[in-house]
Amino acid sequence: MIASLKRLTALLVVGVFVAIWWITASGSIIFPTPPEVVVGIVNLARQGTLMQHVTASLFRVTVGYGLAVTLAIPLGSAMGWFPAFNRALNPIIQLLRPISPIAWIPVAILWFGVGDKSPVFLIFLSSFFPVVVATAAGVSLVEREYIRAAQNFGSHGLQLYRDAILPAAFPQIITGMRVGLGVAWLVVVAAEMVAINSGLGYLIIDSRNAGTRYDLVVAGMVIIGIIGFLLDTFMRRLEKIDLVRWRYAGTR
Amino acid sequence: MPERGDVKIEVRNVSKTYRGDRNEPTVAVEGLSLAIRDCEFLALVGPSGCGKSTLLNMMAGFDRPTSGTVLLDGAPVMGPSRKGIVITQHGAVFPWLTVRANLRFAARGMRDDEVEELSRRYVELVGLEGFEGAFPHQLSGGMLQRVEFARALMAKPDVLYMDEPFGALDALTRMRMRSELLTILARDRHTCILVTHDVEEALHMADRVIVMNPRPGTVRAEIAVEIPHPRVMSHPALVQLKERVLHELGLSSLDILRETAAPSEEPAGPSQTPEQHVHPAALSLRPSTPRLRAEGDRVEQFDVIVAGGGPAGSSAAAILAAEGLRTLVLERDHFPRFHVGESLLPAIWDQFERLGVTAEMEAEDFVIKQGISFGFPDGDDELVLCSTECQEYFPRSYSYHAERARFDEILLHNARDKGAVVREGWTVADVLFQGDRALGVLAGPDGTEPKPILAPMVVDATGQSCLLARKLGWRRPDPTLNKVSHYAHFEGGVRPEVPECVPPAERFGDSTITAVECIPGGWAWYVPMRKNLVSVGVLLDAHHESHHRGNPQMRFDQAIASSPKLAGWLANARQTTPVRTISSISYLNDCFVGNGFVLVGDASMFIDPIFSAGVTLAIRGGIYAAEAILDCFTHRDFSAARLEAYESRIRFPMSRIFRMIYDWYGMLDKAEGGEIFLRAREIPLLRERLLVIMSGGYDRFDYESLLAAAGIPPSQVGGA
Repeated sequence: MIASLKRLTALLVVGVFVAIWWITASGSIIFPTPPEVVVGIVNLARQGTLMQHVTASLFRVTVGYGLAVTLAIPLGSAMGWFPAFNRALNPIIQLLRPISPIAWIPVAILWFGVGDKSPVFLIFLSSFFPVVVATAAGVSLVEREYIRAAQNFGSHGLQLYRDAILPAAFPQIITGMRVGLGVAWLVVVAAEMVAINSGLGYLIIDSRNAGTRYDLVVAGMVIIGIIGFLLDTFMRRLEKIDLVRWRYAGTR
Repeated sequence: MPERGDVKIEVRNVSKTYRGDRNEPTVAVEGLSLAIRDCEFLALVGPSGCGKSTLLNMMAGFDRPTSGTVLLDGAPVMGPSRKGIVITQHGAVFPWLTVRANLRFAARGMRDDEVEELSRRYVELVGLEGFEGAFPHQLSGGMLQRVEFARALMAKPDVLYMDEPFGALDALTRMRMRSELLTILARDRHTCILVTHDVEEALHMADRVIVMNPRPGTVRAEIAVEIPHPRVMSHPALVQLKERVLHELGLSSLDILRETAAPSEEPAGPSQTPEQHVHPAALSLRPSTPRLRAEGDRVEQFDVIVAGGGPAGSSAAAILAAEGLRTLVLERDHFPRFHVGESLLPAIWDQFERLGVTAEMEAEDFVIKQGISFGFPDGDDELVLCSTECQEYFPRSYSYHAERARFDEILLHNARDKGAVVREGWTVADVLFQGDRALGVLAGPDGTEPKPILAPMVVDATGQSCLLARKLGWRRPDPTLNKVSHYAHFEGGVRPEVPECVPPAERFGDSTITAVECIPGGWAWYVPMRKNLVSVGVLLDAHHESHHRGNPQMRFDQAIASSPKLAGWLANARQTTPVRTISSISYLNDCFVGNGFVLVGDASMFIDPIFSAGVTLAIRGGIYAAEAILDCFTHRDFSAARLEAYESRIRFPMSRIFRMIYDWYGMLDKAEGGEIFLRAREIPLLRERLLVIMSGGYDRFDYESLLAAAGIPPSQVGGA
């Protein structure tokens, strides 16, 4: 009852937003109204270019983000577990972390050219740090009792990591992964706006350059928003599974 | 299979030395030798710090002896193994696995059908049928402890090492678990080592009790308990053994009960030589005894006397009286009376619930506090923490700025409503002792000659007066936290807005935050309250203050003027009280319990007010003390050993807050530390956990591991 009411309120706010957009855009020659944008999306979908751009962006995110997670979790775990390792690496990570991935674009083009590699590299950079930091924090905060219990039942080395350290830190890691994915999606669009010929970012820039097709510009924005929302919803779902929920289930 | 009676574990001349923060060695165990037979149940008892847990950890392989060896089945113990499973009170059941998966974890390497059979057997043995698919967070504390036992037994260990296994359970569950464990062991024999401070628990379960000496830990006495199970604690032989163990611990209470039951029978007059009976530190009995005779008045008797009616005292009294104990509260002042320390923490709601004052507090309409802001020196960004950010951890995501005059009055009236006798305007002149055992107090209304009032239990809640701690020489001020505070109330100051981290939907109409601003030489607080009043104060280094000329008002004005923010907020405000000055030196007294008495609240410790921990911790201490005292009355045992449960429960949260305070001043003094406050602005997890600790959730997270997580090296600052 309450939940559906909340959802209704949220929908209502979206409705009001669209209405304001419609009213204000009606007087403009260039800026499209909502129906024009819908028509734009439908046209893109009919031509098949929409799927092509979406797939291209998602592909880059998958590869860049996947690489980041694959590297960040072992590295973060090592940092969380071995204080000396953390002391050695933490300064450089804290130094690199505040640099916006956008600032890396020129460097990325220099190193990787204008193909798929540049955006993948930028996405990797952007999602790597949140996951490393969250993993390191999560691992170092693992309760000592769990480690001792696992050791007592014969776990050691990598097995100890798999049995106790990783599951105990997993809730934090998931949070870091959610933050990382959000940033990755933000960055892919920015990266594609520069010198690439596919992807949602490219769609936006290309539509503007090719004779100010602002209906397609806004269509691209709407699609980006929707996909970002879906990705976040998916990650939030992950935070509800039993492997994660125990940490937030309050006191017993 | 070794025969029953063969030596299973042999501890050979084992010593263990730890090195502290300043590299000073602490000898935890020294030259200790011990042999444990196969299938024997051995209990190690002794006061805190006698090295019993260290010894257990060395036997289990989690700790290495500095010298000497531990042999298990004749082979040196090199590390933890499945041969000996450790069970502690902390609960190490994996929360991410179901009960079934937890049990299977312990049985790794066994055949599937064997695992099935074993888990069926132990689930049944500990009574967990139907809960196999449950996750630990869905179970109660007692059930979790059963999972812990079942999981340990699944590994088919030779030895069970138990370190205060029931310590986290309430008294009733603890007794039930004890009997259940004995039933299990009767069917499934193991060698057991039990570490406990509960003498009765040891005698109830063990075949042999080892009493240990503290610092360094050595064996003081060995007592065989050759009484068949099931044991009834009132069995004369057991009672005798208990006296013996208590005697070895220096806590024999044999004739004390007799004394308090009939105090008027006490011999008096010139033939008595008080020195023989009276504790050297407690000669007060001497002047009072003749008067007691001469006037022939009936001496009043209660079950518990609480000296002091502040939050700690009245909380303890409310719980004791509610359980039917005849409780007397003696309060020096007439309530309501002024007191500083208005800012509360979200953790206080659990305590309101326990005391039954939630509705009254709500009805009071105190100003709602939804966060804290810390303003740093040198124009660094503020750290703003909102209590809504950690709402999963506390019953409510806000607390109050409560005028203490009214707040304390509610708590005291609550004690009275629950049945305590409350006398205001009564001063407790002294605590009466027989030997080292408290018997009662000397007290009376102001301006009259104090008279003795007797009770088997005295609660010292006299606040910063520290009646007992000063008398016994237990007061231990921390010179590194020697501060002075100047404070006053204002009318019409700016009310700081609730920050953005509180979502609009969760804001209350007139809620606000506690603002802390760093100023040269210390820090200032700004706590808006009802009726447009604000409590404003500054806390400054006492050493520096002593060099200052000028009156407190001038010092106060000068300190406030040094913070542009606070000066701005108070620009149009009117000061409604004179500036008051008090010493705010932190102290942590040596002991909080003795035979027949406990110290609670500020009488046991004073914590620097920076994190507003005072009232919340005082009430918590009052509640814990009351629970320990109830346990005393259940067992008719008023010894320090039994009361120690209170001390260890309250010292634990306190040590964490102390650590944080050192860190804070480390930052203010620019020496070191404090990075965590700065780092918390960027790492969300750190921020959340720091906030949980600052909200009074001291048991939730370990501050040290927070520091480690933030990549901050362990600080060398302080450490009392």
